[in-house]
Amino acid sequence: MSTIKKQRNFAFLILVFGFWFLVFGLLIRAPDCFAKDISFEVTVDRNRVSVGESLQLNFTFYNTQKVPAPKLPEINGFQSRYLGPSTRMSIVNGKVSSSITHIYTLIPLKTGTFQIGPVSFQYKGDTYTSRPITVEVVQGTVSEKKPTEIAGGAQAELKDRVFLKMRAKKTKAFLNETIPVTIKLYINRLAIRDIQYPQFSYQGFSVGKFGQPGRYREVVGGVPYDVIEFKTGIFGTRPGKFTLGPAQLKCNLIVKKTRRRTSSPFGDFFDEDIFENFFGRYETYPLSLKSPAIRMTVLPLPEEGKSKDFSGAIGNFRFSLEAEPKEVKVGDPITVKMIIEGEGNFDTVTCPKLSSHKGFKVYEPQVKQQKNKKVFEQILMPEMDTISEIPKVTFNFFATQEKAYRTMTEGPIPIKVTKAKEEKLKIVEIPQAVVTKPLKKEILGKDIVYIKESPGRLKRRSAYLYKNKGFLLLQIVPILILFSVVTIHNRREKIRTDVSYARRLYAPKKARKGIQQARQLLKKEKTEEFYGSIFRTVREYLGDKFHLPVGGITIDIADEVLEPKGINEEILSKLKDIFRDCDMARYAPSEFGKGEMEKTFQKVREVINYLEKQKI
Amino acid sequence: MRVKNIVVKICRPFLFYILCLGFIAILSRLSFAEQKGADPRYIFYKGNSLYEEAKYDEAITQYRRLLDEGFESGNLYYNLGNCYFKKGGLGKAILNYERARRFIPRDKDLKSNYEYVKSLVKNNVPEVKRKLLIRLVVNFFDRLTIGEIAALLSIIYVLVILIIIATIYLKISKRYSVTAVSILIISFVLSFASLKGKIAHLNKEAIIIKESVDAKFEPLESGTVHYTLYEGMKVYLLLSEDGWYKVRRSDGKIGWIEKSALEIM
Repeated sequence: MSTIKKQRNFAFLILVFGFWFLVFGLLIRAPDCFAKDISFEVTVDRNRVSVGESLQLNFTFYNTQKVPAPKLPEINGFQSRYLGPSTRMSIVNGKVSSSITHIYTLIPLKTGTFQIGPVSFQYKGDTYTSRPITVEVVQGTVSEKKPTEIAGGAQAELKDRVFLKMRAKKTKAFLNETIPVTIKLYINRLAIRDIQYPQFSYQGFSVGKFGQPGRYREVVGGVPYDVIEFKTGIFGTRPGKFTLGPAQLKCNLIVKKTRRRTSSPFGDFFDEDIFENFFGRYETYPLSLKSPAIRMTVLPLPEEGKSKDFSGAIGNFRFSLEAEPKEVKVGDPITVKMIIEGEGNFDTVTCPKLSSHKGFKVYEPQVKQQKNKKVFEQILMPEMDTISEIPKVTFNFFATQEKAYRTMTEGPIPIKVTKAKEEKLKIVEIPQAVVTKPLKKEILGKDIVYIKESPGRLKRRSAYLYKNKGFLLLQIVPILILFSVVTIHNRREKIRTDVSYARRLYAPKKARKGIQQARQLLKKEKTEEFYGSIFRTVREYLGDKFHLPVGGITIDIADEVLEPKGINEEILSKLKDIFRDCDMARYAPSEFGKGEMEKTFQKVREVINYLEKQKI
Repeated sequence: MRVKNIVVKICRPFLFYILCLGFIAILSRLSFAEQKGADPRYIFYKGNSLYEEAKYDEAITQYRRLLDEGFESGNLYYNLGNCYFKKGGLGKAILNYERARRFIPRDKDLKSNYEYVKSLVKNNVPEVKRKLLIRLVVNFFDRLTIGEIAALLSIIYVLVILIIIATIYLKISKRYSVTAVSILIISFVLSFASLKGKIAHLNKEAIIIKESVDAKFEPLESGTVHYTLYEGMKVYLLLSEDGWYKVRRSDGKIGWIEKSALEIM
């Protein structure tokens, strides 16, 4: 009872502690997020609304939950009402983000285009100003259509809620100049799945691969959108005017299926398929979105100022030169690193040229291209010790920012070349393959092997181990061991399993002990105890010997058990005398003197000795 | 704990047994070191140096002295065999190599010499081929000396008893112990048979030492010649009658030859 109570108390304690840890954990982290900058956003749930319908206006503050509801100024053409705050807190990978949204309902009073805001207010000394939002109020129903009707009437509505935009960083570019292109998918409160990478026609351009798409929120015209952004880079492959796009993107729209209402009040319950409840409520519509196309102009590179060594590199680059090691021996390699960093089309960047190769052995450069960096590693081997520098290296490119050719020169880098050690040319004689001609047939000499150095184990003639008497005698030992082991084992087993055998076996030992005890008592002339001991010993002995319960042994045993076994009459009568004496002594101990006791003692010994000798 | 005690209890007498064996071995060796004042090895070395000087007859006398003093060893017989061979006594050489084989059956020098010398025997009768299994067993035991087989028998016997005791006390699965014991018993029987065979052959094998001798149908000078035996051939003695031996050749043919023509191994 008490243990259960204890356990309950313990569980309760754990619960309380757990709760406290949770609360403290949150509190400790909480100031962290309050300290962050508060960002602010005003959104409406749609831009077009009909008279009589309501519009939701949200003021959302991020990284805080303490901002009170701002007081809304009078908005022309709308009646406003504060609905209340909605707070949100999420912990993702231990990062806490919280927000509070104050929600207002706007009810349009007349048709027309209206501007909401900018709304500005103060909180803790900071002034927050919202961007203006334009809302169109129309006559009739432009309300959100049921999704099932999307295919029919509300195409326009859908277009506002999911659309694709494509942008190039510039529409005029030089040949081979890299132009970043961004394709954005805007989604407003719709479930879009299975978004594929966009595709667009790119005649006259070379297009790179799309990177990992980015995801973020963007507010366009007061309406919040989830944006998925795809980025890539293109460059013109020939001069002229081209159209980029339109970009196309395929995805699936998930919509909730509307339930068909039945007239029967039970039908609602019974007609409905249980599976439909689980799975059939949502339907997938494939969507193919198209962005407007972009007109692009690709300009040819100007001929003016074009260097002879220009190899087509376009972009804005920096150039640097490194050489390692700077002290070498003739014939040792020097690694020259030419590093080109910056922005532009690295595919067009080729290895810068050494102004002179004289005195060097030049190897093909190794190219390592990283993002915004291209490294050429060229190995040079000085052939003479008179060389004192690595000649200058020139890199030519067309700078798109300046719209002009540029030449960058680095070096020369001074180096020190020492004479190589005069090494004697070692002429390694290649041994001619030793061909052992196989003899036609090897004739081996035949003779006996030479004599033995040592006499080995000298022993007596015909002294064989099997004739050794000691050895033969020793062979008896294991068999003797086996016999004794088996005998001991069998005896133990018998004692363990055969109770009557065990009792019989231990009967004389016990009896001897009893007799010894009796003798002690006899010496001390303790009549009563003496007879008690004698009586006990005899009973136990007989009980063990004949496997009988000790308690049931009386004087009658002599006639009932011992006589049929052919025990001597004399012994039987002695046994009876013993029992009788014991009985008598118990009632009248004073009548038994030492002589009597001696007699009884002798009788007991005789009886037990006799029975031990007898095979019963 | 209990099992460990039992194991210790069982092992103690066997340890004692093994100690006794070792003691006997040591005693038997010590005994001859003390017996003769002159080191028997000295005689052996003397023989060796005579052999080096190519004095084969004198070397033989030295080696034989050692034998007469009651010593023998594989190397001694080997050297004797070499001496006789160098002297030109093919039969005696084979005889001594055969004797050496009883002591050092795995000696490579001996094997090579024995085979070479045997190849020189004229008109050698091929031995009767035995069945593969029997041959394998015979070959195995041929590589052991009589003493080694006796020791092996003793070891197998002790192992059998150990396994039986272990089965009683440690309650090892009966199937395993029965398998082990039966394998041991089979090897025991084989070893015993080969020991018996070797002992039986001990004084029953002989080598012809005369250049050639005729084996006759009856132990008489005038008897019909059955076949001829050449020096170095091995025969098995069956009967002895004054001046004559009834012998069996390796191919099983039986005949009577004069006693002087052979020497018992």
